[in-house]
Amino acid sequence: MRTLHKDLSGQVVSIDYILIFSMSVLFFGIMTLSFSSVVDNSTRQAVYSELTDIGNQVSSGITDAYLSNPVQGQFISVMDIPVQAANSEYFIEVTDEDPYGSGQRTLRLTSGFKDVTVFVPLSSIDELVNVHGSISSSSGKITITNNRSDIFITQG
Amino acid sequence: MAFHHYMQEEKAMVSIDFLTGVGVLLMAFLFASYTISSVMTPYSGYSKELYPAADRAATLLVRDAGYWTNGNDYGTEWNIVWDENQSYVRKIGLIKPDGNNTIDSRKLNVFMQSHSGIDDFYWWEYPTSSTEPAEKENVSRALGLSRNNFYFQIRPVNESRFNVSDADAAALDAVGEQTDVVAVTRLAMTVRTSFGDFTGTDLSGHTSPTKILFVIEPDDFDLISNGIRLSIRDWIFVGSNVSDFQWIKIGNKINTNYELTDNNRLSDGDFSIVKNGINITGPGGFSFNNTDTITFFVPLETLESAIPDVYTSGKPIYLQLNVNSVVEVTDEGMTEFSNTKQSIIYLVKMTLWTW
Repeated sequence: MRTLHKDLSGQVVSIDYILIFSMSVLFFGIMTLSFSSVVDNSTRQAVYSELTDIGNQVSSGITDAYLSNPVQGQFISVMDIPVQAANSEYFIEVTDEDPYGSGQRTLRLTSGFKDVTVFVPLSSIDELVNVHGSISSSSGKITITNNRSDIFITQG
Repeated sequence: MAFHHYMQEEKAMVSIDFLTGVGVLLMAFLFASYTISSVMTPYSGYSKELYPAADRAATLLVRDAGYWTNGNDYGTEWNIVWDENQSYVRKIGLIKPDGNNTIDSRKLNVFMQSHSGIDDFYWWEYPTSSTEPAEKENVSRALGLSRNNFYFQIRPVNESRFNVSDADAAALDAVGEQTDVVAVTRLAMTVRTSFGDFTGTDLSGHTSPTKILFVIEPDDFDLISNGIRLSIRDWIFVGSNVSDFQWIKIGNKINTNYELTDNNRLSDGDFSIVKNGINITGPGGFSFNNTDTITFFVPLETLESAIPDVYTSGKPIYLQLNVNSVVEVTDEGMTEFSNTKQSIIYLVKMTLWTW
């Protein structure tokens, strides 16, 4: 090992300060950036998780509405959903987008927070009945209507 | 100084001590941060969707009849078109479309592996090691489980009616040691339908000479599993107690006299014969009396060879049994296989594993 400087007299204090300061800035910068990244990923996962739960709740509601199979008239079901996910409203819509490559329609949930988007399968129920609609979460309720030929999701 | 005694000059080394301390602290912090982050991951994605997806798929399986369409026609009895073109089947549901919420075993038999139990009780599984990947893909799509791996069994609730160990072993083989697996169970009634036996009074065909003609309509083709089994007892004879079997013909076109042509005649090795429980398959004919039970079995390979377009032509399958004219045929016409259909109903448990 080696000394940091050949002539140490009168320079130790300043080199100490420079090293301590620059290393501190570097380390705490890395810690701050990595902490931010970790927190951001975790937040996205939390939003994703919450939207997944809500999407599956709605998808199961659509399945139940289909299986209610009214002989005449229509079947109407009103479900409570969270007004906000991760402190932000979100949108639910039935879409032709098929990220899973199954050739079937899905529910798309989009959060205003960090633009997190979640797709939830409709369990191929769209092969049995037409499913339509899009809503925002602002009212905290969703209405699912089965009129025998179509199922609509509307604002509750 | 505690740090490295081999150093010649110890001045200014306080900064290296500091660097070491901060470095260790930083590594500990980063390790903790990423560990906590990775620990959170399993609870946030695919595994959360498993149970609801399996729950919906299981519910639709036992409470919906399914749906098929080829663009022009459509219906809920998708089992009829399964062999013709699996892509016509848009949704697999297992119940009969009669509103009684009973599982139709005819729908199970078209794609699931059946295992016989005791007294006509069966259990079923899907997929198995012999399942074709293309078929599994179609089933996954029609179940709404395209994203998931799955395996399901339907077994009698009465466990004395089948080999539970075999069923459990099959499930263990299929599901194995997966880490994230959800299992959803549903109870339902099943109706198992099969063709029964004929008696002498059932027989119709060409009366003179005696040519008994049997017909299976396309709607019943799914009841043909390994082949066509034809069993006749309590024969009605006229003038003698002994008759002779001559030959069998099979085809999908008859003339106005309820006859198949000679081109439709099967060779000796194309089918098997059992007389009173004893296999008498062999070349040439044989004699029998009116108390004998005679069972003919035409395997699937023979059927598909004799009628290459059997599943796509939309025509019935005809079997003609030529016997000595001592056998009485009650009517000029056709003997319907569908008249012998029999059903048994029992409670079953369906378990769907998804991972």
